[in-house]
Amino acid sequence: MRGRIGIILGFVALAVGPAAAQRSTQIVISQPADATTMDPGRSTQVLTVNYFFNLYDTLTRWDAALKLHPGLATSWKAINDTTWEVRLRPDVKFHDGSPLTAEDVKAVYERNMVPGKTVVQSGFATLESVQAVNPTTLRIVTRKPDPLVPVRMAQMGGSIYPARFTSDEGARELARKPIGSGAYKFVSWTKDDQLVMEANRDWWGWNGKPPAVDRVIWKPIPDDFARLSALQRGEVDVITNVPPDQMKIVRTLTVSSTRTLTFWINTTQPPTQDKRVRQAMHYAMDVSSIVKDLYAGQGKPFSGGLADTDFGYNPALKPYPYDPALAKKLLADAGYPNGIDVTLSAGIGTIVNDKQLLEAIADMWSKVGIRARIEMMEMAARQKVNNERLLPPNGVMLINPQSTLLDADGSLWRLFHPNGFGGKYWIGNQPGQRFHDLMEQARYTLDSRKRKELYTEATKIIHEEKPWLELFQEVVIYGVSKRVSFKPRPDYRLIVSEMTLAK
Amino acid sequence: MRRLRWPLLLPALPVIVAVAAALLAPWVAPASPTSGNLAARLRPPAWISGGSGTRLLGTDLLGRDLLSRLIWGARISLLIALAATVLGAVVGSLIGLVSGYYRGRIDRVVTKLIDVQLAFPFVLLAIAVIAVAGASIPVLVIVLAIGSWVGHARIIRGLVLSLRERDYVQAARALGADTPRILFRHLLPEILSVILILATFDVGRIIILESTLSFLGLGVQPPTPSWGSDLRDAAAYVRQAWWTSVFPGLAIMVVVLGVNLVGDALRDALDPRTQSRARA
Repeated sequence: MRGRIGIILGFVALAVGPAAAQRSTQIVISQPADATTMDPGRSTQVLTVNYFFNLYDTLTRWDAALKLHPGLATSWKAINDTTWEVRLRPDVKFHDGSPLTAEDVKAVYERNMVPGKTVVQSGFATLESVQAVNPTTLRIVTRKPDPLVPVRMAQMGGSIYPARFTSDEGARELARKPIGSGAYKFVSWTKDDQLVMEANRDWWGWNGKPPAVDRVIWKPIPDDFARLSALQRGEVDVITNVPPDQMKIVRTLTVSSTRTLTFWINTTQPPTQDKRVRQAMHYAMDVSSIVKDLYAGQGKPFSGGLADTDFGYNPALKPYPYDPALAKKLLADAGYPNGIDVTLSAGIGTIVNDKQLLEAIADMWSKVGIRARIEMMEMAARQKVNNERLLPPNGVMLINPQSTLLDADGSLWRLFHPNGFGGKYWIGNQPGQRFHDLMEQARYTLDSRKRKELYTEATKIIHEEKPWLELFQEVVIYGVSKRVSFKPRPDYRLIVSEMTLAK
Repeated sequence: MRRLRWPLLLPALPVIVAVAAALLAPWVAPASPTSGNLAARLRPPAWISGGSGTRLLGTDLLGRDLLSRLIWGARISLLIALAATVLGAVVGSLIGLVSGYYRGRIDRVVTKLIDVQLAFPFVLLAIAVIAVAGASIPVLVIVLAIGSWVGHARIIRGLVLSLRERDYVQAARALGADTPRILFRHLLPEILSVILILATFDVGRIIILESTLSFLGLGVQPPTPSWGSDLRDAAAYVRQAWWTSVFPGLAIMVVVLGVNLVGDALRDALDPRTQSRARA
């Protein structure tokens, strides 16, 4: 028997050998899901945007340390409170050979500014108009003074493609056959099987060095276990979403991410209307044990609504400790000595170990009298709750938001704004309330010290009021083969031009 | 009806154990099935180093006692299987009885319905129903019953089609017996043993189906223990903690095997046709 296996392995080695040699400059990346589109205006989904940031360029970009760098723009400056002048890199060509000019940028931004045309409009809502002064000069005019314009140029949706794709018909073509100016160009796409990209040797960002990776194959594998096995067998080089408790079995790269795990609560009706109840729910969760035992120590408890990578993060706010006795007392004080009933839900696949996380919390809550019914929803159902703001009273739903701007404005105010995903669930964000006024004021304040002060007070309100329950800041975990190295990015972006291969 | 022979006891053993576990769960389970200790997750069974005497089969992904999960899981799995089997058998047999007896238009409608449902993949049907109605135990029972009534209806209909021409039925009719009396006093007793045998096999099949649905996340919702959902949660941990998937899998296998063997034995004992064949 053993002999036969040896022979079979021999044949396999023969078959794989030449292929392995051939793919010395090719890598295979596996995420849990395929891209849903190639149109950067139509998705902000964390796995899908990974394709965009390899195919397309943005005017500015973050490096792996989240420092802002020039991209297609070489320089930018505010010429008055509401006007920014941006100089574009000259002689940049799209993958089809056509030149990239200010007209293309203008067309893309204008498409993004129209409500309903794209899913990235909220990030461009402060813009009034975009003017192409000449092929390499652009003027961006904002409605009110907006300090975040340079950052908005790097956000999701800021990817630039030729102006002809900004029509509805053009966008449909772009969604299937993307043309950008990025480090990698599109070769082919077989839905749910593989997407192939090839290095764009004319890219401006190589800085004279040849690309380390010539060819990238993206192969979605939904099942965690199968994805890990594929990496172990050497079929793929990079995998995303490695469950923390499986980290030991593969080589991993990790970094603390910009995403935070939180629970939406509908606070508009009893019992969760009372902040003592929400605080009790918090004190009854042993977050440090969850991080240590369920997530293998990968995660950082937080409070105040912001990740430590966001502008406005308030390090003075300490996460609530585990204190079941205090939780019981708070519940009794709020008038619920016999506990409360809640529904604890999550979209299947929101994060690794999501079901276990919910079960662990339901178990902890049961010890102080919070009775939780668990509901695992299909992603489509969860999306519906999100988009239509359908979270019922007593509903508690797992989310993992990140700031799209690495700034309080891109998370706290994107989500808690009266029109944001969580706007309906909390009275504290309505006009006239302190939190609302602080956030609106900060949005249009150019002085960053003043903004910081405003956010310091706003995050304190979140810490005290707990309009959502705050678990921990996630850690990005990649599984990688021995030959690939790169610096993992906190913003979850997987950028192939930043990778190097061992010889 | 012939005496049940002793070899029946052997296959019945796992069934008896599972039923006893289900009935006595609150008293025999050594720990809570839903409350665990995260710090003690994925501990191996007692006989492996690192295991503990109080956690006989080890702990699961959330540090809950695996044996207690299995015992309480038996309660849920068997309860659902029995309820769905009874519901399916009653509804299916009634439809088969009526359809076979009346023939004509009712029969044509019923046979079409049966054909349509047999052509429709059950899991797809279950996903559709559960997506609309939401996953809960009553919904699950109804879905599983929907999956099992067809078998009863088809076989009972066939039997009744031939039985209704028998002399004794004709005689009853000639003597002025009304239809309900003929159906329930003359035909039903004749086919009761067949229904019983069919239902026994159904229990096994439905345990598997319920596990399948729970495995797909459509069945019993957490934290309620069920063999199928435990198996699913454990699937990713096969390499690190084999016991978390092996024991629930084993439980399903042994119990279903037991139920099917009991079904075989029942058939041998009750079905006159297999008897005569065996004698010939």
